[in-house]
Amino acid sequence: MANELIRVEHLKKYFKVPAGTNHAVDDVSFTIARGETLGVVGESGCGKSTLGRTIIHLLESTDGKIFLNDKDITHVNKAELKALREKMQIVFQDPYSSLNPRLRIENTVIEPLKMSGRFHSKAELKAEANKLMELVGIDERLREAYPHELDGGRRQRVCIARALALNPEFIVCDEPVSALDVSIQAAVLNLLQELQQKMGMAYMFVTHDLSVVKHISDNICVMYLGQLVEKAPTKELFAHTLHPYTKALLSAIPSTDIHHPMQRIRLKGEITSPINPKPGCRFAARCPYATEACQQPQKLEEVSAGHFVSCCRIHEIGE
Amino acid sequence: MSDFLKVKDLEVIYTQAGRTVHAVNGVSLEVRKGHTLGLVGETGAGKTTIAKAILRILPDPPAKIKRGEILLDGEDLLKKPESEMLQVRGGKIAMIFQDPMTALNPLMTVGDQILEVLTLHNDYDIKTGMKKAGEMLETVGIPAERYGEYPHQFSGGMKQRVVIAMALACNPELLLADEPTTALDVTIQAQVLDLINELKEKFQTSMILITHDLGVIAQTCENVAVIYAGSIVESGTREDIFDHPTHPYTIGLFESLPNMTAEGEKLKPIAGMPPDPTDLPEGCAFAPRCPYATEECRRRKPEMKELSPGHLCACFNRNEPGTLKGGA
Amino acid sequence: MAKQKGYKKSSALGEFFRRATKSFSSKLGVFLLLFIVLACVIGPFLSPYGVNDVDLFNMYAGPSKEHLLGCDSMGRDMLTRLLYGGRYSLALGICASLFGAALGIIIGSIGGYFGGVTETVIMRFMDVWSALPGTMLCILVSNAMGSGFFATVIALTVGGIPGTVRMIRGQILSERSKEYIEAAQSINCSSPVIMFKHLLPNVIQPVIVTTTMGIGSTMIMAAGLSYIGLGIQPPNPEWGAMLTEGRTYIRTNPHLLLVPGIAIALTVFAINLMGDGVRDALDPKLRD
Repeated sequence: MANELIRVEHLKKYFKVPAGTNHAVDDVSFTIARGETLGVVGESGCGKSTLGRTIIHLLESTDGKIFLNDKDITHVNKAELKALREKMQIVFQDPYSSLNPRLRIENTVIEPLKMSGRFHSKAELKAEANKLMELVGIDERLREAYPHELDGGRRQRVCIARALALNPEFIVCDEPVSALDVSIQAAVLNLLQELQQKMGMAYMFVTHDLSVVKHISDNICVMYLGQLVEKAPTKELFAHTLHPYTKALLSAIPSTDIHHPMQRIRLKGEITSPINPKPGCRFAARCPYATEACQQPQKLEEVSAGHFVSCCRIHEIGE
Repeated sequence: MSDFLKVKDLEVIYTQAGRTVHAVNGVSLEVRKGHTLGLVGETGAGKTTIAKAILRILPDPPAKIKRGEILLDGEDLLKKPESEMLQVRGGKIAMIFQDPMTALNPLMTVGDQILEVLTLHNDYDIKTGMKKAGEMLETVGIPAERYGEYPHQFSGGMKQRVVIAMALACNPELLLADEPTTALDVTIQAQVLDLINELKEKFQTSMILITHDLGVIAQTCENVAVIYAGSIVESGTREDIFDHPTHPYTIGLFESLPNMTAEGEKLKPIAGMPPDPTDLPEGCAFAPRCPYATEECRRRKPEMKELSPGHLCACFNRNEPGTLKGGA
Repeated sequence: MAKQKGYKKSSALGEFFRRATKSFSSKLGVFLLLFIVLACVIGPFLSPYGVNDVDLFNMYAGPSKEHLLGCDSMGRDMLTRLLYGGRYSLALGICASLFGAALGIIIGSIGGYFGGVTETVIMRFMDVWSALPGTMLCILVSNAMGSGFFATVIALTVGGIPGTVRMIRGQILSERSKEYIEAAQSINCSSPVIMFKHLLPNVIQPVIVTTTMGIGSTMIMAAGLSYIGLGIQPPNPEWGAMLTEGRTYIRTNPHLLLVPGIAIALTVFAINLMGDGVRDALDPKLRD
């Protein structure tokens, strides 16, 4: 694909923990096109945040390959990493802990500009920071405020301005709206979309909220315990949901439609841990359709154009 | 019509560093026997303060209940001496907190924690108590064999089940659930909501469910009250609120949801921010953000008025029950 | 207070000073300390008596018009000795505490930030260090380095380092995992920038508080040293030394003990009040 920005091949990230090895990200592959949004959905502990942090090199990958613009960036030296970080940025979940409480927000936005070395005078830096803050909708009178003087939505705007400062091609949005109230969440989602249209960067949008991801993504990956279980264009995924876990996830969202209560697929049990997992489908323990065959390792297979599912029983289960 | 719990004109303030935070401003609520009232609103709207005021566990100072009545079965809880409140808490009224991780004592087995609640309010000997506690665990879907395990051996959803078991241990008549599923994953949230619904049927408990999630309200509540900046702006049955949202704030809440059915449309956030609770606007608290606001809204605070039987709304400009466009 | 919420920035230092002395108690602290320091610096020049002028007629004299705070066992004027000795005591206490804190902060932040082997080595070394009793360490160093002023400062410094290191490292451990540190990494901040601009200002608060509180005990420790013949040497008066000297006469002539005792207490009190002010000034959350 000529338009491809990020390609991840068989990416693995393991952590050593006292109880064994945590397979936080286990053999994940996907591509993100320029200017597109990939939604990554999953529950807590499924490795979705680790995946994002590994791609932008906040964590080092255990195995697999990461490509940016068709260039292998899996292993880079210090100078390359510096250049790389200008292209890939991140917006975090918690706007309360992702801003330094002792830095005025203007300085928070100026800092990456300073680090880039593109600006030479204080006035230039200030002007650029002002431009960025205007872009994300931070009032002029708030620019000298400290983070604790702003509400969550505004803080998240500051975080977005900081990420935009280096003019990245790719931004990992790690649950950027889950800590916000709905009315504010909507404004931040709109902002992210507007910025994408204006500046053309790609997003990897990590979240547990399917309705948010449906709204913002072009393609969606569903993760369960470190692995992709389903991957498809957004429309296709919601029109033909195939994997039992995706189905359960969809049906678990409390719907606001009081007249058509959704048929809820009840899952047994709790999410198991990704520490020393057994081979075979990791969802099998909770899956209402699990059989003997599910104890075998599963492969992600293309069932229709662009729609991948990792389940040996989809043909029997149907939609 | 048996209103089991009646809150009348409750006002709570916090005094912090010489400033007065108007957390709850004249809230009236009713909960019927066996029914669930959903209290929906954003962060800082005063939801939790109301629940804590009902249980009388607000820290005083800085909090102060300035006026109002809280009638439980006709008795005003605010007039009761502290000694009688001890019997009410955990006995007649129980509360489920948002964060199951911190609501349990990490040094006590889950069974013993339930046992503790049981023996506080009943004259059980240890053996019956333990049996009862085991039964409670079973009721919330945890095998009784796990009686002797410690909280860290449970996952988040299981811990919340334990918390629910503790709350239900003494068969309370009123359950205050403060964001009981917010800290949980969706599939686990679905399980816990199902459990709450089942138990409510089984024990005929009345409940106030506090949440910011309209979806959770839709799945569990018979009645809904929408709260904004410490005041109820709209209340009614679930059908009233979800089919005929009338107050501009309620409508704004619905419109800002990334709807599961709408396609590719832009979201419509509510403009502006909630007001500073130390400096509330003189008139309607929502007026600065409201597209319909008039001079009158800015001058005078609107009263709740009845649009249709049981459906109340505090707005000068909306006199007819609204209609939800699109949907249904 | 200011009605509209403006975010005007005045000069950083002036702003800091204004905020550090905002409350009454911190103002009191600053003035009290200023007064004590000035008195110690200027006082001895104004006194009609020499520091070591012996006056056998006034041995153990109580406070009088001639000797405002009385005289000691050799008839030396207490007030003069107090002010003169204050120079040593204040300088020793403040220098040693600041030194200890500075070294502790540097070592602790290196350990906490880099983690891994660096951290293990530093922390195990600190364990050994703090296993030695502070007093003994102090005596050893003082013995080895002699009795000069600077040597005494060093001797008093060493005991305080491990505590600061441990405190800073603990703070950094909890702060390091916050997302704003990751954010700083992702915008290419170098390690020193992250450490000094992002981490340190957020972890330094408890150190400031314990350091100011520690000045008092450092002064006492200095007294201990001179008592066993190390540190500042007699006949130079030093508050701690005066205190130990007065101890003998606690029943008969209590003013010998009370005068330096109250001086130490007042100084520590003033420093503590000021420490609270500094802490508040460093916390943007307490801005008006």
